[in-house]
Amino acid sequence: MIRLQQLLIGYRQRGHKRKVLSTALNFSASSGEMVAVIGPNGAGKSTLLRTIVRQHEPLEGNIDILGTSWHRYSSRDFARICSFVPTGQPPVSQLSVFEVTAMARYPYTGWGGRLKKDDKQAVAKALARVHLESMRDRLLGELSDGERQRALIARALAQDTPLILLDEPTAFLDIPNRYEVLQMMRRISQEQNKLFIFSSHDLGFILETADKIWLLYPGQAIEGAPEELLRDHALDTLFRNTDIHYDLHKGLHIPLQQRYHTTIRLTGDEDEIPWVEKALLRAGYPVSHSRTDNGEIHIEARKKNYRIWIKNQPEENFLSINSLILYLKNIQTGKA
Amino acid sequence: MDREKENKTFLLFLLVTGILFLILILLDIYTGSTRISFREVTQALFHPEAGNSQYATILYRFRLPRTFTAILAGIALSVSGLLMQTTFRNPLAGPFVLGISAGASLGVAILVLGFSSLFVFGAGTLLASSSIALAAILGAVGVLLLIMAVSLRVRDIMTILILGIMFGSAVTAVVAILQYFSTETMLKVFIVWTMGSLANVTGIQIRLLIALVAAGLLLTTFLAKDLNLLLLGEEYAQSAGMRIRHTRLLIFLTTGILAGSVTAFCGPIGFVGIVVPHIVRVTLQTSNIRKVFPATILAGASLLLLSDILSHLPGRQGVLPINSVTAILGIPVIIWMILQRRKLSSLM
Repeated sequence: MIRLQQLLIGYRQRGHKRKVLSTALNFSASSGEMVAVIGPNGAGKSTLLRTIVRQHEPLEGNIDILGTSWHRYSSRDFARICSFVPTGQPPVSQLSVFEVTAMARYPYTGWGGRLKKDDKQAVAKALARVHLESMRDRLLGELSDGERQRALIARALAQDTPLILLDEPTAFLDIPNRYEVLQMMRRISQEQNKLFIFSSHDLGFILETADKIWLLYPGQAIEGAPEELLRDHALDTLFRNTDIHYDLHKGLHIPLQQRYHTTIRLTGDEDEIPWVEKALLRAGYPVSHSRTDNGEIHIEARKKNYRIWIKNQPEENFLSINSLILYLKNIQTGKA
Repeated sequence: MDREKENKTFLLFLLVTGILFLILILLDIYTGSTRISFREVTQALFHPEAGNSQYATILYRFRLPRTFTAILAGIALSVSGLLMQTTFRNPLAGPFVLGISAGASLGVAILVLGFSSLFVFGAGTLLASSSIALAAILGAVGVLLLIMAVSLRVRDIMTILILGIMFGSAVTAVVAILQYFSTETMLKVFIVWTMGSLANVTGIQIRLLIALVAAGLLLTTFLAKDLNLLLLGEEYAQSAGMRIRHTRLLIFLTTGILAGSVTAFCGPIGFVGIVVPHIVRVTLQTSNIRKVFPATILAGASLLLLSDILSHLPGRQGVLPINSVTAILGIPVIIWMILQRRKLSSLM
């Protein structure tokens, strides 16, 4: 459906200087796919999206959409095959959800912009898709960030295009809303066979929801299923200079640094032990589960009751993990 | 607010403003510097030959043209303010802020002060009014084209606004130089022009003004669909298939015709253009151009009629410059709006 051909993105600067953001890109994608564009800040994710939707000129190369070079479409025809949700919120607040969504019918209506029956149907359908039917008369300024993002996605849907691009659709959203927006896009792409191309930094979610990743990295451009990229350690470049890595079972993983040598012996309820262990590891302690007491520190974890024995210290009892960790820290710094 | 209620608010607004508009028209005709009784005005209005011929002259030569001019200027300035606020998506934008009026005054200054030796200005001759209007429109469109040229290169809207203000200041500086070197008579002509006046537009000039304002309104009607889409920002507008440069050009042309022609005939009248669209949006609680545009026409005409009535200090001799009255009426409204809303973006 879309094929980038030797596409070089970047900026023309004064004179003949060019700031090239990528190597020649030869990505492609088909209908019904969720394609995530990822890469570090400044790698050209937004520029790539804006180049595809013709809001930015490429330095070289071509984009083929539905068998035709993308710059050969008229403005109106292009708006009928490709819609775009830019990042950030629109500068208007006093328009209703319905009015904003109905703007998508611009390429279909006459000069007066009067909505015909099928225009209204397309708008209603789009609002239903994002579960905003009941909010159609609410003003944009009255919506929460999540609702506003859904309204803007509805606008793109109402434009009735096989291809939808979104620049950071999950930025500014809390975790449940991020998840919901991505799930919604995924559902729509499958049910309506639409191609979604979106940029994002939410690697955790992308690895679970995207069908394909376009990875942009200075001097490097890789495409493939998330699993292929993970298997081939292609994403390691993203974490260069950090100790984050991806674990097939644990997902994105940030290794913790051990700060103390005293091993803590942890016993108690099965339900409690993993949580206390996690907290202790983050605080920098090695943890053992041995039955025999030979360490200096022993913690017994029961439900909301944590006992701790430290050599040369009286036995203490805490009601929360947080206060337990705080006590340990104070012991280490000699404040207790 | 549900849609039915919103439509009711809209119709109620049109009704109330419409009635207010009619009352203000009558007040504007029936009051003025010369005290004429209600009966005598009515008689002069409908039977000009029967009554006091002096009153008929006052009415037909001064008051009616002035009322007409106030209506046209109020409409043109408010609508061009709406156009600019929508295009630049800045609630404080207006023809004045962006230097269109400064451009118009440069045009007039060059004509009046610069080429004063080449032209002869008789009060009310077609040549004078048309050439002043032409000079003002050229000046206004010149500044607009400059801003437009910049806006094609600079994406950031705040930058364009700041550049607009810079252009305005630069133009004002040039006007000051022209003033310094001009003759006293011509200087006075120019200074009086900058104070604004609704009184000097008569006969054929009014017809010209009507034609220009009508053209501007017609263009705005054709642009309504694009203006609505522009409310979402240019990225959205372009992705929905709008040809931004084309639309911008038309909007700037329309603004140039509306604001430029009024500035040409009446001088730079400030604040009406900024305030009226806000009053309308805040009252109607919508930015939808299809509602804001007609409401702005009525409210703009009414506000300038009110300013005109006040400027004549009914029953007294002497007239205040219209520019001062609109500023005194407009500035408190702007301040009130800023303090009320805190976030300026919520005004759009």
